[in-house]
Amino acid sequence: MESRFGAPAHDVSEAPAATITPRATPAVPEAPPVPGPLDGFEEGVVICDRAGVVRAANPAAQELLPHLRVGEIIDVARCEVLARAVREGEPEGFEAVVEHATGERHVRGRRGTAIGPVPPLPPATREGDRYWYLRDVSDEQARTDSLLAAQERAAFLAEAGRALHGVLHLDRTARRVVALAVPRLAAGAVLVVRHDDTVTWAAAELGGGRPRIGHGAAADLHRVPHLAAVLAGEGDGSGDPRVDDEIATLTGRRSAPGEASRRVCPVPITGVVEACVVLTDPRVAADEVDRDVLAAAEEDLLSSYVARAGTALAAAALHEEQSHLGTVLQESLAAPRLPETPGVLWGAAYRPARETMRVGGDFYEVVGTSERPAFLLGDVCGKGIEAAVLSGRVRQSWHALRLLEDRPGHILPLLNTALLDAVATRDEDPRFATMVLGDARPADDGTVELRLATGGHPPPLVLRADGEVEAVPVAGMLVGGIREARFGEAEVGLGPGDTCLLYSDGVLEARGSGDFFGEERLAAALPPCAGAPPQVLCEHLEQVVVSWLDGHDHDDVAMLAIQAPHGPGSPA
Amino acid sequence: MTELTIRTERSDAATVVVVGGDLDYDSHGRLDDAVGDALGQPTSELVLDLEAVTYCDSCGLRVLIGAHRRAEEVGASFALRGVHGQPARALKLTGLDQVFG
Repeated sequence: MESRFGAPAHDVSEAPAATITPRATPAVPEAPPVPGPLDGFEEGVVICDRAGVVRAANPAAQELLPHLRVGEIIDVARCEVLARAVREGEPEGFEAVVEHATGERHVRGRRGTAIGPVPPLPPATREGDRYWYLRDVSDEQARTDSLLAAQERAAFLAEAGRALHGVLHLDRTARRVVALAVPRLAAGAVLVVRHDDTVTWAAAELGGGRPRIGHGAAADLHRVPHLAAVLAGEGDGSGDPRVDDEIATLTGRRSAPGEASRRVCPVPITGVVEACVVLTDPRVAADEVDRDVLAAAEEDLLSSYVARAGTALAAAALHEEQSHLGTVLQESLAAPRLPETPGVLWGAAYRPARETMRVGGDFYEVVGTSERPAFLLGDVCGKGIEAAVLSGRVRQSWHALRLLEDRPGHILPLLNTALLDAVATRDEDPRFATMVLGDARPADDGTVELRLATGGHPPPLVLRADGEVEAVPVAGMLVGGIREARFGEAEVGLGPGDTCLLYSDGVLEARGSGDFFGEERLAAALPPCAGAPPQVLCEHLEQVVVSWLDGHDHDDVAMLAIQAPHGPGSPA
Repeated sequence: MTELTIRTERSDAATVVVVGGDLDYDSHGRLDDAVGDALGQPTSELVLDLEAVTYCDSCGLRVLIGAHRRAEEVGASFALRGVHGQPARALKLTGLDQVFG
């Protein structure tokens, strides 16, 4: 009796119906074949006799060669190279493309080693018998595990990156740093950050809810000397029980029992802050790292996390420093109080470009301590800290120069040279300013004589008491840009109620829904204010410009108005 | 607000940087870089074509002054072309029209 592996398991002579079908009906077997031992193979197995008749084929083979029929010659499988290999014994291996209803399939074949009689059928299958197919998958499993672990680590770092990016607030950043560490890296985490004279700590623990946070003075760090040493980059407090005590001192709570292991991770020094993270029951202890590949990968993860925390903390601290600096500069530079001077009235308005930056490039000054009150209104290029530094330089230079030289037309060339010299030693492009400066001499008859000089600035406008508007014909080149610059000067007489308006180009260049505000609109806005106090005039103009902007962004806007008071008999 | 556009055209005679849009605090750095690139290769003349520039603030003027200075340093002549509208007013106000010719 012949025996066969694979479906069908019947003897051909006994049960021809299902598989050794007559040629006339090479269709799908009508009855499901009884399973054979080959059926569980993932690899397709085809057994043929010398004549090329298929004796057995398992389901995997039939899936690869849908036309293959047990009992038919191999040629019906429509795989020529296989048919040749069966008849001629070669090639011993091949690759072929087989047409399927769903498209082409690439099939690789190899000749099996068993030549000769087909092995006998195993003992008859009994009820309850089961086949088991075993394969060694250790390598595969190791690859999958390490791949999954690597993916998980990458996902954690990506999450850390997202959570810490752009927070720019030290307390919030600190909270997130410890929240990220638990439970992925450890059962508990305490972050200690020193920034200037403040120490901030944040603590998170497993099941402890929202991280706690607190602040202290850097001067008190002597109470926690070991932590202070770690912060300063001196030594590692891992395993030192005194660190536990110090954490408890700092945070007011002992976060883990005494036997818990502790790992201290200094955050790389960034120059802005000093910080360390103390982990309780960390996933990886420092002494494990050399022994274990997985521990080494975890250690890499920990270092990446700590580095990210450092970057985020530094960015947050820097941002807080800058916004503080901006506020301080704004307060010291932006809008000085106007003096009260006999015989001259003053008004001003100032609107920085961006509310968030708070420091603009426009500035004005009025000094009323002498008989001739002196004034300055200007604009430096740029915004923010850079602009504040330059406008500070311009103002300080002006304050000093005007003590030595009171003629406005002579001050500008000196200021020009001073600004150019200041950048010459730094090998940077000139940072220039445009400005109008001058002084006012009140006369006994109630008039005011103005001396003006201008460098690259829009010409001042004069609003007469009767509503007439004149531009002061004075022009000059920008200050601090070019050594050979030339500046214009002019004298203007103000009668009682006349006002001279100095303004920055932010007024002219205010852009609403399209056009610039421009000189014509400015001149047209003035006459209704004839005779009004200078402060009222400036506030009115500011409102007109703001309405024109209609919510659009704008450059700094600064205005300074100088007025000869109304005479005793004039309308106030 | 119009996005700044910059295109550099080179010929044997000159390198022309064609600029369009708003040249202001936010965008001036890009023109500064483009000028640096333009002067990175030998040229006898640097031309900034400002025909399509819609707005130029003091930061923009600073880039023009810097471009002038850097062109002189490498022995190239410097010229502006097509200046009109607000940029022309800004150049006149600051006296830079006399400097750039």
